[in-house]
Amino acid sequence: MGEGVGDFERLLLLAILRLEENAYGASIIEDVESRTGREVSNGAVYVALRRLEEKGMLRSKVGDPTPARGGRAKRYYAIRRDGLAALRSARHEWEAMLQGLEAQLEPKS
Amino acid sequence: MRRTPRVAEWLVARFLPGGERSEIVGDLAEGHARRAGSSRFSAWHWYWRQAVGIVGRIWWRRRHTILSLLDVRYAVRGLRQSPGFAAIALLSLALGIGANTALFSIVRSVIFVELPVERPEELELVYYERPRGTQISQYSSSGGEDPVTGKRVHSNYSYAIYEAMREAMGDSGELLGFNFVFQVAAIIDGDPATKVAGQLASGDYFSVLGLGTVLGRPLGPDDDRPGAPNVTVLSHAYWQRAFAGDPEVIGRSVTLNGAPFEVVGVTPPGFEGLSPGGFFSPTDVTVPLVAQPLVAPRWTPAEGDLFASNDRFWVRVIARFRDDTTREPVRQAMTSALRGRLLETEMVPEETIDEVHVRFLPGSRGLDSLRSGTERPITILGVVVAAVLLIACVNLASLLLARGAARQRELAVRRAIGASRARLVRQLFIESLVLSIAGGAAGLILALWSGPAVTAALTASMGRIAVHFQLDWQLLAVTTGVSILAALLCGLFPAVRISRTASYSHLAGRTDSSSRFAAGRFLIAAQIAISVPLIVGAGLFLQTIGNLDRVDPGFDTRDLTIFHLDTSLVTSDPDRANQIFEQVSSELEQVPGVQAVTLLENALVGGWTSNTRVTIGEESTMMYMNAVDSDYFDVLGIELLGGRAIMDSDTAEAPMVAVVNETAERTLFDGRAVGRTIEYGRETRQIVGVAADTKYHSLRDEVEPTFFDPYRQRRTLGLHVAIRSALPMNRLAPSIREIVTRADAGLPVSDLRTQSSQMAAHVSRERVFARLLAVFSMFALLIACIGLHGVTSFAVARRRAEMGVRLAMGARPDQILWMVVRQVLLLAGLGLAVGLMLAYWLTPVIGSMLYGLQPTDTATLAGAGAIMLIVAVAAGWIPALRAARTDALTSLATD
Repeated sequence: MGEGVGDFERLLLLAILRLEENAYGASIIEDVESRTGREVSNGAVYVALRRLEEKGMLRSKVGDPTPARGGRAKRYYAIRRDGLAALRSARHEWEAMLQGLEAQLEPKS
Repeated sequence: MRRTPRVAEWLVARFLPGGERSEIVGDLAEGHARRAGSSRFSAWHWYWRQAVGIVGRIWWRRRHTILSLLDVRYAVRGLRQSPGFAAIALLSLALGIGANTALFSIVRSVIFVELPVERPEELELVYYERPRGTQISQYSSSGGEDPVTGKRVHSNYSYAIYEAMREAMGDSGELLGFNFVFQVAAIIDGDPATKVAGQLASGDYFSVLGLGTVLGRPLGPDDDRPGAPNVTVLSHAYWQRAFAGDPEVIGRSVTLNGAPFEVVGVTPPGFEGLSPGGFFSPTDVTVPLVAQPLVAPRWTPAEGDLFASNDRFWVRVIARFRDDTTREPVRQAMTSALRGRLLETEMVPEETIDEVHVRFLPGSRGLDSLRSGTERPITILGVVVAAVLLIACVNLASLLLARGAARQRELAVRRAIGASRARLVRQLFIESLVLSIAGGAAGLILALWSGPAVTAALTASMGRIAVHFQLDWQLLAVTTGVSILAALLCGLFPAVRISRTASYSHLAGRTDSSSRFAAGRFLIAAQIAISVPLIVGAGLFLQTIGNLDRVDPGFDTRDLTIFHLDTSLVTSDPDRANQIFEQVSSELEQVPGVQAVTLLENALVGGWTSNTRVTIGEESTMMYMNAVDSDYFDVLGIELLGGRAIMDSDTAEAPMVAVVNETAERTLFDGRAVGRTIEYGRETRQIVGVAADTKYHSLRDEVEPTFFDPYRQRRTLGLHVAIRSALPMNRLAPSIREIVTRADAGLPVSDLRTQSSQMAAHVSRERVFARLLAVFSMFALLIACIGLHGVTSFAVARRRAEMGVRLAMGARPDQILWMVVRQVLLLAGLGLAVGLMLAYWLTPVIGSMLYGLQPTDTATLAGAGAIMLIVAVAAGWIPALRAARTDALTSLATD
C-alpha cells in the first residue's frame, strides 16, 4: 500500500474519479463545493493536487485553450492506480470502523 | 461572461509561475462566471479571497527567497553582531510602547470608567437648563455644568414630561427613565434589616442599555404597568453579599421598605449601576418605576399620586441614539416638548420660557460624566504618556545615529567594493524595520504581561479600589506606529548621508562625523531634560500622599468603629428617633470590650458636612455644623479649650446651646466666644464652650469655623454612632446588628467601617495615581539611562584608537575614566538644567492637587536633580571603565 491521503485529498480524488474525462481545476472545485456544501480555497486545491501528483496518485495534462475561459487552457487530471488503491483502503478503513455504529450515526429526522 | 476583477487577476498572474499560470487563471475565471450569475458582489468577493489565498501560499512557500532578497538575514546578522545595541534599542522600544500603554490603560480605568453596557458611546444624559428661581420639588436630583455652554443643567423631570420626551424622541432612538433611591431598608428571611441602594427603572431600562442578566430575566415593560406584581433585579454584588451567590435566588422574596418583592434576575458582575466611577453608590436592587409608592414613599405628594404631579421632578432620563445625525433635531423636539409642558402647568412663565433648553451630556460614563476632577488627572497622564514616548523615540534616534556614525567605515568599504547606493539604503532600512518590528512585538508582550501584573500589585495593596486592566489597543497602535516611524527615519538617516557623500575619506579612517555625533549628544541631553519634570512630578505626588498620611486630624482615629443609623426608614417622629439613638448607644456601652460610645451627625473626614448661614452680632457668615452627643469631645479625644462641653441636660426643652471650634472663636468671635450667641433660621444658640480644631470634610481641607449643637436639640432622624473599642470591627459587628435590630426590627446598620479605613479610602484614588506616576517616571528614567549608556558606549568604542594613543603616550587610566565621565556629566548637566527649568515652569499646573508643599518645592527639585545625576554617572561609568582599561597596543593594532 502506498502513502496515506488526508481528508481533503480524498475529496479531490473522489471528485476526479467521478468527473472522469472532465476533471480539471474549476470542475473539481465545483463538484466538491456542491456536494459538501462548503467553500473550498482554490489555492489549497492546487497545492493538494500538486502533492497528489508528486505522490504518484494523479497524472495531469494541459488541454487546448478554450475560448469560453478567455482563451485559457485547462489542466486535466486523471487518477492513477496508487490513487485508486488509496481510496479503496480509505473506504475499507472507514467501513471497518463504522461497523455496528450505523444506527447511532443515522441522520436525525 | 462577466469581467473578472482586474487587479486580483493581475496579482495572481504576476506571482504564479509561468507553467501553471494559464490554467489557474482560467479556473478562477470559470468559478467567477459561475458565481456571477447569482450575485456580482459575492463573485467579486470570492475571486479576491481566492486570489489572496493563492498569492499568500506562493509567498509562504518562497519565504526564504523573499527574506534573503530583502536583506533580512543580513540585518539580523548585523544586529546579532552588536547584541548590546540591539538589546538596548529593543528595550527602549519595548518600554516606550508596552509599559507606556499598559500603565495608561490602568490609570484610565482608575479615573475614567465606562459603563459596561452595549455601545456606551451612543448614550446621552438628557439634562436641561431652566430660569433661576423656578419652583420645582426635586427628588434625588443632581445638577451639573454643561461642558459646552458652561451653564448649570438639571437632571430630573416630572413623569408627564418624561412621557412627552419619549414621544419627541420618536423612532430616532430610545429613552429610558430611572432614579436612585438611597433610603431603602432590605430584609431577607427575617434577618436584621440592611440599608441598600435602590433604583427605580422604566420597563425598557434593560433593553435600552442592552444589559442582560446572569440569572433569571431583566425587567420588561410588563413589569412597569400599574397593578403588575412587585419584582426586583439584584446586582451581582448584592446577590453575592446578601444571598451568598445562591443560584436558587430567583423567586425568593426580599422586603424593601416594608413591601415584599420577588427576585426575578441578577445583573452581570461588571455592572454596578449608572455611576460606574462611584459618584453615586453602586445600585443593589432595581425595581420598576411603578413601585415608587412602595420603595420611595416619601416622594409621594400629599395629594396622592407622584405620577400625576406636575411640580415634583423625580425621573432621570437617558437617551440612546443609533445615528449621530438625529441628535440635534431630537434635542430641539425635546426642548419644545419640555417648554410646552412647563408653560401648560405654569411652572415657568411665558417671559422666561426661552431660557429652557434640553442639553445632552455624554453618557458613556453614566452619571460620572458630570463629575469634575477627572479631567486634570487625564490631562496630566496624557502629557506623561507623550513624554515617555518622546523619550523612547529620542533615545532610539540617538542610538541609531550613534551606530550609524560608528558604521561609516563599514558602509564606505561596502560602497567601495561595489555595493550600490540603493542597496546600502535598503540594507539600513531593512535593519531598522527588523528592529522596529521586534521592538513592537516585545512592547506588545510587555504590555500584555505588565498590565495584569501591575493591576494585581495595585489591587493587593489597595483593596477597596477597583482597578481594571483592559489594554487600550488604540494607544498601543499609536505608540507602536510612532516608535517604528522614529526608528525608520533615524535608521535611514546615516544611509542617505553615506550614500550621498560617497566620500572615501571614511576609508582612511578620518571621519567627519563629529557634527552628527553632536546631534546624538543633544538628543541625550533632551531625554534627560524631559525626564526631569516627570521625576519632579512623581516626587511631588508621593510627598503629597506622605503629607496626607501625616496630617493630624485633631482627634484620636485609633480603635474607632463607626456606622450610620437612619431612623427615617422606620419613623418620622424625632422623639422616637431620639429614643432609638439613646437605647442603641446605652446598650452598646454595655458590650464587653467597648470603652465608650458617642453620636454625631456627620462622621469626621468622611466627605460629608453640614453647613448653614448664621448671624453673629450684626454679621452674617457661613459656618459648618455637626450635631453631637454629650460625650462627643471626650470619646473622640478632642480637647476642650474653654467653657463646658455638651451635656445630657441639653435637651430639646433646655436653652439652646452650642460649642464652637477654635477657628471659629479666633476668626468670628475675636478670641472670646463663650457667652456670645449665633443665630440661624429661627434659632438662637448660646455658646457655652470652645473645642480644639479637628478636620471635618477631608484631610486636605483647612479647618473651617464650625459649631456643635446637642443632637437632642436638632431633632434629626439620622446620626452616626462612633464606638471606641480595641475589638476589631468584625468582632463588634454581631453585637451592633443585634442591638440595632432590638431597637427596631426594620432599622438597618449602614456604612459600618472603621475611622481609619474611611480615611484611607478617602485618599486611595490619589494614592494609586501617585504611585503609577512614580512608576511612569521610573520608566522614563530607565529609558533615558539606557540611552545614555548606549551613546557613551559607542563614543568610547569609536575613540578606542585615540584612547590607545593617549595611553601609549603615558595617560593614566583614571585620566581616561575622568575624560569619559566628564562628558557624561556635561550632557547630564545640560539636560538637567533645561529639565529643572521645564519642571519649574510646568509643575504649577498640578499645584491644586498637591498637599503640604509647593509645586516648586526646592527639596523635591534638588532631589530629582540628584537622582538624575547619580543615574547618569552610573550609566556612563561602565563604558568609561572599559575605556580606561583599553590596552594601548591592541587598540592601535585593530585600527
